[in-house]
Amino acid sequence: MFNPSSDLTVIQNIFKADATILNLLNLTGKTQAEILKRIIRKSTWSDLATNERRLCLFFRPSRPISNKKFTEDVIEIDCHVPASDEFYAYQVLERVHALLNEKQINNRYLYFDGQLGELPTMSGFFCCGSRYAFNRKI
Amino acid sequence: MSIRFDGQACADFLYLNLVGAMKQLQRELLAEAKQGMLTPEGAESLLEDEIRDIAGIIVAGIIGGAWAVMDEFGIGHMLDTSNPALQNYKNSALWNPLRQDDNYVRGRPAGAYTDIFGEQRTSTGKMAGRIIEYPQGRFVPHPPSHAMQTAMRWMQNGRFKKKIQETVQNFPFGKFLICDTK
Repeated sequence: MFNPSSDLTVIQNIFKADATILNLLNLTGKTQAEILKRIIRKSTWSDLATNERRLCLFFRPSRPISNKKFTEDVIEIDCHVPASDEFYAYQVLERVHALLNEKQINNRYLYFDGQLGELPTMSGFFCCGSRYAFNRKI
Repeated sequence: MSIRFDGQACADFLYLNLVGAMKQLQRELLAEAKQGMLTPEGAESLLEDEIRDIAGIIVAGIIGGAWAVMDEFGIGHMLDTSNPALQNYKNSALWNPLRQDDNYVRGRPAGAYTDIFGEQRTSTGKMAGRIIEYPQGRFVPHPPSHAMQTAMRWMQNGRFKKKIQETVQNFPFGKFLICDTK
C-alpha cells in the first residue's frame, strides 16, 4: 500500500513516545507542540536556532527493484545538534536503531541501510544520520 | 554431443545490462542530489549527463550549472571556503573586486561587468563596497548544501556495489549455453 504519510506519522509517534529520545533531545516535559517542532517530518535545517537539537525524518527517493510491483523505499533520520553536543547526536541514532531496525512499521519490516557519519548542517552545528529501507507493494 | 558457450554474445548482453544498471544508478544519484539542494534553482540546474564509454569504462555522471555550484558550496558570507575552485573564481574577472576576506556580498564599482552566469550587466556604483546581504540588502545568503557530495557518499556507501551485484546475479548466463545432443 502506498501510504508514506502514515509511515512517517507512525515513526514520529514512536519517537514522541520514547523517553530516551525525548531526554536526548532535551524535550522531557515539553508540550506536544514543542515536541512536534523538534521531531519533524522533513529535512529542513537552514533555520536551526541556537542550542536546538532536532530530529528530521523524511523519505529519500525510492529505488526500483526487479519486481515491478514493489519499490524499495528509504527513510532517512538525521539528528542536528549544536557542535559541542555531537555525542548526543550519535546516542540518538543508537536509540533510533533500537526502535526501528527489524521492527514492523505499518506491516512492513524496516532494515538498517547504513549511516554516513557527519552530514551537512548549519555552521556551529553537527549532524549525523542513518537510513532504514523497506519494500513497499504498489 | 557437445556443450558450447557463446562468450561474445554473453559479454555483449552483460555490457548492455551493466549500462542499464549504471543508468539507474545515475537516476538515483540525480534524485538524491536534487533532494538535498537548498534552492529550487540549484535542483533544477542539475541534469543527467550522457552515458559514455571511454576505453571500455562506462561513465555515468550528473552535471550542474552555476546555480548548482552556488547551492553546493553556499553563497555570500556563508560560502564554503574549502571549495577547491574558489581561488580560481576569486582570481577571475567574474569576482567582484570589492568583496573582502569576510566574503560578504558587496556592491560592485560603477561600470559594466560579467556576472557568474556569464551575462553582461552594468552597476551604477551607488552601493560600491557596501554589504548588500540581507538585512542590509536584498541578497539572501545561504549555507552550503553539499548535496552532490553527500549524494555521492550515500551511493558509495554500498549502493553502487549492491546494484552491480544484483545485475550480475540476475544475469541469465544459461541463455548462452548451447547443448548439442547429436
